[in-house]
Order: sequence, then structure tokens, then C-alpha cells
Amino acid sequence: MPDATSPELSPLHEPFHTRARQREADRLGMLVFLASEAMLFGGLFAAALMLRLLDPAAYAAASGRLSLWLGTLNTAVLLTSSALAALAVTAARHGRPRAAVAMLAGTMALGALFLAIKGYEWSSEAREGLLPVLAPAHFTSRFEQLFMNLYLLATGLHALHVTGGLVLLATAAFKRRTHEDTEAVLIGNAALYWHLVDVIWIFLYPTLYLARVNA
Amino acid sequence: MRREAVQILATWLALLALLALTVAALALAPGLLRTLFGYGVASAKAALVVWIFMEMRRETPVARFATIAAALWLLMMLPLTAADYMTRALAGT
Repeated sequence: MPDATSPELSPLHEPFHTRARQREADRLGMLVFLASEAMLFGGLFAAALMLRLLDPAAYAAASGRLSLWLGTLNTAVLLTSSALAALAVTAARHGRPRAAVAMLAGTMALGALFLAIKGYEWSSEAREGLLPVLAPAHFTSRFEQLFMNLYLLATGLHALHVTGGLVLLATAAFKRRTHEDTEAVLIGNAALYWHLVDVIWIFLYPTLYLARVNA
Repeated sequence: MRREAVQILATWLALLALLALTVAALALAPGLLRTLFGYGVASAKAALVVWIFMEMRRETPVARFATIAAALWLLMMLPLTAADYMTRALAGT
């Protein structure tokens, strides 16, 4: 068991007198920030709920224009990346920095794959005239336009968060000091952020893709 | 480490199984039941991610409270917003 001056532990900062309290503050700060992020997306979920209540049939028809299989594939990719991020934290905590960095690299590769699939999906929708703002669009109804506006805003904001998560994971992977930290403070917090991005997608998936009439 | 890694891999397999279950549920007739099932499975997936991957099972009560507060706040605000829109027609009568 390393002592308080051991390089394997993160340094103790003011005003904390114990490492346990410092770790708790680190985690709590990140969790409160993530709760505020959940509120940000909460507004978009509320907008989707209103659209669905206003006209359930039109909502289902608009949802049917999206690619169910690309949405499902991206869900599987993000779930797998989250599992790798969790494994990275476990490896770091057990003093295996190489394994932790390898797992983080895997997480980032899958995050990049998620963005690539999302980009392909957006480009397909743009070709079909379904993507507002970014390309000339021709919708079959005003409701479909509203749905696609919401879709682009929600998935665009989520993709920005995925990009932010990739930067955070890269920082955790390449910062030498984090490799020696068996409390996995930075890697743990980067992973927490990544898991929240995953949880948001878990709810975006039924909201946008599963509201269709048939598979 | 091995035990934790096995637990994470088992959770990952459970998440993929739940994903497959949601897609399979599209065979059900569209409606409230299917919608509730979809969000029920999504909630189960989110609970697994929060409890196992985010290690909420090891957190202090105050950290758990911060996490639950976010979920509870959304669970309150979404029905209240819906109640506003769903009762607007009644106000006009």
C-alpha cells in the first residue's frame, strides 16, 4: 500500500486534509457538472415530448425517415466504448498504466467511429433533402421539418459533447502524471464524462429512432 | 482486477442484449405500450452504466444524491411541461 508521499498517488491540495476528502470533492464536482449537462439535454427531451404529444402519428412518420440500423450500430459502438473506458479506470487503479492507455485508445477509436457513422448518416440525410440548415432541404410536411430541426440540434449537440469527451480522454491518456496516479482521478473523471455522453445517447435512441411505426 | 474486469464485460454483454431486445420490440404494435417498453429498456441500460461503469455503487451518499437529484429533477420537469401543453385546449373552453 503506497504512503502519502508516494508518486503513485495524486498530490494532496489545499484545503483538503485527507486524500479521501479530496477524491470525494473531485468526483462530486464532476457529478454536479454532469447533472447540469443532463439539464441542458433535458430541454431537448422536453421539446421531443411536446412534438410527440402534439401529433403522435406525424412524429412516428418523421422518425421513420431516419436510419434505424445506423442509429442502432452507433448505440452499440458507444456502449462498447463506455465498457472500455470503465476497464481503463480499473487498470489505472490497479497500477497498470499501459493497459489503461490502451483501453483509453480503444475508447477514443470507437468515439471517432461513432462520429464517422454520424457524419455518414447526416450526409445521407442531406442527399435525401432531410437535413435542415446544412443542406437544401425539401420536407413532406411542416411537422417533419420540426422533427428534423430537433434531430439535428440534439444529435449535433451530442456530437459536440462526444468531441469534447475525445479531447478529455486524450488529455488523460497522454498526460504522463496520470499514468502514475493509482487513484485514477483524471482518467476516472474523463471516463465519467464519457459515460454521461453514453447515457444521453441511450435516451436519444428511443426518442429519435424507435418512435417509428415499423422496423 | 480480474473480478472487476469480468463484471464490466458482463455488463457490456447485458447492455448489448438489452439493445437487441429494444430492436426486437419494434415487432410489437406501435403505441403507448411499445413506447413505455422502449424507455423502460433505456432506463435499465442507463442504470447499468451509472451503477457499474460510473461506479455509483462505490460512491459516497452525497455523490449518489447529486446524481439522483439530476434524474428526479428531469422526472418532475418533463411531466409538468407536458401538463402545460396538454391542458392548453381546456383553457380555451
